Amino acid sequence: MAFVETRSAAAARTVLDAVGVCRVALCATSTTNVVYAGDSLGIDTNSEWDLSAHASGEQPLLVALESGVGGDTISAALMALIEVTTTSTNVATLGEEVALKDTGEYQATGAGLPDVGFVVSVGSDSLSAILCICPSFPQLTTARA
Amino acid sequence: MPFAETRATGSRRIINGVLPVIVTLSEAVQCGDVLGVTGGTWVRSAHTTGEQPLLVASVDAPSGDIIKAFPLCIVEVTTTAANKSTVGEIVALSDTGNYQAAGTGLPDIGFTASIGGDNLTAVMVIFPMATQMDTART
Repeated sequence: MAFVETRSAAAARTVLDAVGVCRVALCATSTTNVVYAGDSLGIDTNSEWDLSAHASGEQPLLVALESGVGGDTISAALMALIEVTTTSTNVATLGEEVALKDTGEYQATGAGLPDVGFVVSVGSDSLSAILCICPSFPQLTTARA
Repeated sequence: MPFAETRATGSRRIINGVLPVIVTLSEAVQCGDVLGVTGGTWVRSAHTTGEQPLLVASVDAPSGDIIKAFPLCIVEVTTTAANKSTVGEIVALSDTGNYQAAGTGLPDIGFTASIGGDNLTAVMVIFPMATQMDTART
């Protein structure tokens, strides 16, 4: 089966390294929304930072470096190395491109899903993978005309 | 003549790199070589075997070594005066793994940030995976 990470509080991701670190305030009007460390963040219709998800259409731009809920101010980064949890049936493949699922999980590329990075290491037990995530780059597409 | 580096032992130097990753090689590489994956292992990215370029090797190393590699780094390369680079030009990867001027079918991997005063070196910003991430959310 294709790569899909397990995204939950119990299967926490580990942020290993990051560059381009900044502080962002999570959308205060959705205080029940939970952002986990390693989530890709976008700007919602209220012009506030939120989990990048298809239903609300946010393009992924930054990587959350810590967990938070609506109204929190957290650290985020332009690029990060994150370790994610997989199952042995949904294991990642070294070198494969990573996309963002409509519900915020990292997974194999798929139609309509934004590219966000690559798999740079797979755990020997096939239950974890290290991803290099840089979600904003696919949106930088236009050179000077 | 267009830019082409001279790739030889000791011809490149990593000035800075971010987000280091530890990788196991299944092919000998030189410092600054761009790496891709084939058959589940890291090798030098080259056309004949089709690996897309992803990381930059930090050191010279034989096959089987475990080394540090970077997704984004600053590399100094050696050129000849006749094949010197131009500040700001796009850098591509030749089919044999050398840095060179952009060309048809060659992957863009970065750009030239500066040129040595003697026209025999150039400093490049190399970020090989960037061009492969081409799909935004729809």
